[in-house]
Amino acid sequence: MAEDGYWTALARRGVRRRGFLTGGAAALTAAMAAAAGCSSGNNSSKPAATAGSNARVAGTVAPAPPTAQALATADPALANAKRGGTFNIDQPDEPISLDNHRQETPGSIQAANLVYNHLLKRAEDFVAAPGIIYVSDELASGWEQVDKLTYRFSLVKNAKWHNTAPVNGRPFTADDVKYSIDRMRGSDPELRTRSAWAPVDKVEAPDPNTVVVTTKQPYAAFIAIAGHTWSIIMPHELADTPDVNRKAIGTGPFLFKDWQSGVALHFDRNPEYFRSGQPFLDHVVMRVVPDLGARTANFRAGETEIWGGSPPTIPFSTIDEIKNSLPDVNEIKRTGSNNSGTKAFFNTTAPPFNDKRVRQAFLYGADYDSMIKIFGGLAQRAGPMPLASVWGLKESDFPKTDVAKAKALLEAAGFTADKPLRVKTTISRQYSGPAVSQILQQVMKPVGVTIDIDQIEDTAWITQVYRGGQNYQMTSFGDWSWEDPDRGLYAYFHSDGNANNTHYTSTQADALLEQQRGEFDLDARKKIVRDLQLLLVDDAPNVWLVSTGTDELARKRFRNYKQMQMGNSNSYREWENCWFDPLPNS
Amino acid sequence: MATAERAARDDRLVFAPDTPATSIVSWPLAVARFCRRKPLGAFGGAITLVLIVMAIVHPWIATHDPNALNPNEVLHGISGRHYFGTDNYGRDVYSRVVYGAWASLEVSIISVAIGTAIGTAIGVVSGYFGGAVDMVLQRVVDAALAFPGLILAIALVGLVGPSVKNVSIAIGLVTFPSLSRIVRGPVLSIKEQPYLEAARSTGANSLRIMVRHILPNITAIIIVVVTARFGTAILVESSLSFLGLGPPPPTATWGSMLSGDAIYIMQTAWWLAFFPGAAITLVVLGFNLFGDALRDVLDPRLRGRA
Repeated sequence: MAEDGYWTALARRGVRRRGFLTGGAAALTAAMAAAAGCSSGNNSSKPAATAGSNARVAGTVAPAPPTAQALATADPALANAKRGGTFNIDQPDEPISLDNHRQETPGSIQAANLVYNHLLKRAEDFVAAPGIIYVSDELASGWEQVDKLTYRFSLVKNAKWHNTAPVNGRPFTADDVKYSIDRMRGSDPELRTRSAWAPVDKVEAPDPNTVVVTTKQPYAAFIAIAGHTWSIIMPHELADTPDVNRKAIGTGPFLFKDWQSGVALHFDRNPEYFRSGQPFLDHVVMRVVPDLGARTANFRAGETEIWGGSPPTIPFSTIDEIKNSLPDVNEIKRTGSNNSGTKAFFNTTAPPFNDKRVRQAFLYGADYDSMIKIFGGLAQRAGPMPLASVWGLKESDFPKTDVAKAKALLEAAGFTADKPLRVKTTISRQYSGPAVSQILQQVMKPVGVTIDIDQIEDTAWITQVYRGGQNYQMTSFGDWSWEDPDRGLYAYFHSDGNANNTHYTSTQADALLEQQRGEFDLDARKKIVRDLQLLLVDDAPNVWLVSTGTDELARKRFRNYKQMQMGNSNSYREWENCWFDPLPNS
Repeated sequence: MATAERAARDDRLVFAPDTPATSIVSWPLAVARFCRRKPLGAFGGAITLVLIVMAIVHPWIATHDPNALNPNEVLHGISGRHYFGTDNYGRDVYSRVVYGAWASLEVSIISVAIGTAIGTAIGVVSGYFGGAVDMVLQRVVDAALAFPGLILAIALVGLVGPSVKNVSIAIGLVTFPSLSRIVRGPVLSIKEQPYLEAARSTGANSLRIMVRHILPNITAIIIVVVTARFGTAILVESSLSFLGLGPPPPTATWGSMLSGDAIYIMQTAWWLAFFPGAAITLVVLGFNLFGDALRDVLDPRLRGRA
């Protein structure tokens, strides 16, 4: 009998189901990638990320599935790393809780991210490619998008939980990922992750090193969300108990040792971290130092390695002086300013800000040019998404300052020269509250608006204002900014969003938010997000003011410190990749 | 006559009438005599007067709106346009010092008024009635005195929130206890005087006696103590503002101008610290010198107290 041809042989043995699916999926993925490649324009031609060998661009369809990746990220800088040293951070805002699923303040994130890992890690090379979010691997050693609704993650095989009761050093498995994702999309009203993880339909752990996630609809932001700072993987033994707020047991580079309220948190090196050889630092001490003067003095005295801030609170001239007076520091300067966007947001359910005209009076009345100067001259207009990101609006999209129009809006809303508008802004002393409020107070004077500043305690502000209470009129501060429009906008502006602190409802915004969520094509999604942002700017539940320039100084000895650009204060820094050069005589 | 006695007599003669037959004191003459005998006190009084006048006319002598931001003039030094330079928001330091005078004066007047009213009332009632009333009231005063003053003020303001009103009340509540003690002493001796017996026998009730007979006799003490208290009140207000418990931003008060956030800027922009600091120093010095001299003149027996 003649040798069977391929197709004859295939027909004889029959097509196995798995083979069919894999082949079909590969074909489908390749087809979609081709389509995406054609239409993604500038995005697909971006240089490969320098952070991590498996970095890919988030917000697009994944290219053909990769082969299994090596565990260590191939960052050449790490070849020179040395072991040892204690790293001191002065944190302005004390963590509220170490459970990042429920608290995402900068202090909470900074502390917990030393101890916990994520499936994927957000990485960004803002010098080469500002605004593009690369995602590289962490607990997932590789991932592929099997089809529009399904993602498969291969997990690292040697990760272990920290050897602390009640978890006791057991191996990390796919069940832990399933538990954490189910927790993040749960119904606990305290969750900050709910809206972002809600599109997940189910999570399966077919074997201890594989996780398969299926979404209900196509969800373009899924990979970005999986790499977000608060998507930490937690052990159920701890996370189901009340201890989860004050204790942290993770798989991460540092072990949580203790937390003295109002004083400091201590962390030790994890000798069994799955990235062998890392971390390089022996200890991390995170001190709680709300006072800027104290942080400055500590930095000058050599007690901390990193220090910085923004004008007007810290003028650039002061930073220059300090840098010149200390021979052992480098400057890490931001050129862009898409970091924290200063803003005012309003309680839209109560007078006077339930009236859109009053909110728009702020939009048209504020003197943005002055504010840009006061914030150091590096600043630019702020928008719902940072202007420097691929999603950002352009300066020309924003209305220009028009005091006459602002006054007319106020008059139409019933506020005249005899009965002027007087409002109270409720702030905390953190997050640039006092600086932004004082500046806003002054720039709104020509419009005839009087703003009284009510400064309340830090945690009270988080719970009563930032998380959306009813007992405030407005607030003004520097918000952290987000890398993906779904993360940045959905939870805050969807009528059902879990972080809708302005209580804003708009069927039009809801529709656009849901639409962008399911759009994988980058250009198409950009268009929807643009329309959404223009709507939000006009409806003004927030009035975005200016993004601030920030400057940072770091000790020369402290190596490989990289600043994140997007959402700076709220992103974790890669402390596991940092080390100290040995002192000259040691 | 021994030197000390002569000095004491001379002091008291500041307010002596010109001729034995006249019982009306001529004020301009008294002031002139005061300046001659107590030059330091007069100097203190002059500084105090300058502060009060400056505070009252602050809208007219300020050169700029103290809260107006000026992004083009951040951290400029002393100049013809900005007598005391500008801060990191571009605000004029001179105008902020001048407005701060008013804020400080407002707080010190209100707090001293509250402290004096409560302290005097408690001291007089306590001393006059004696017995159980005295015991209870003085135990209350003991409890209040047990707290370090500044800590108590911080706690009070922390509880009710920072504002000019709350800061004034807090400082008043912190200062009344010691005043009540000081007042109580003389009241105890005065109430034994025979003319009070006479007043009582004509049917005067206790309140009338306290107000018409006792109070005028302790006025001198109160004036002396109160004058010194102004200085303390300004210091306490500065401390509270420095700690962030004063009136909310951007209100200019001398203490908040010295406060933590600007400390690291002051190492080069020295004018940010110098002028508010000098203002506080001068004013407190002035009140203290004036108060000392006044005390010597009105009642030297108080030397070493208050």
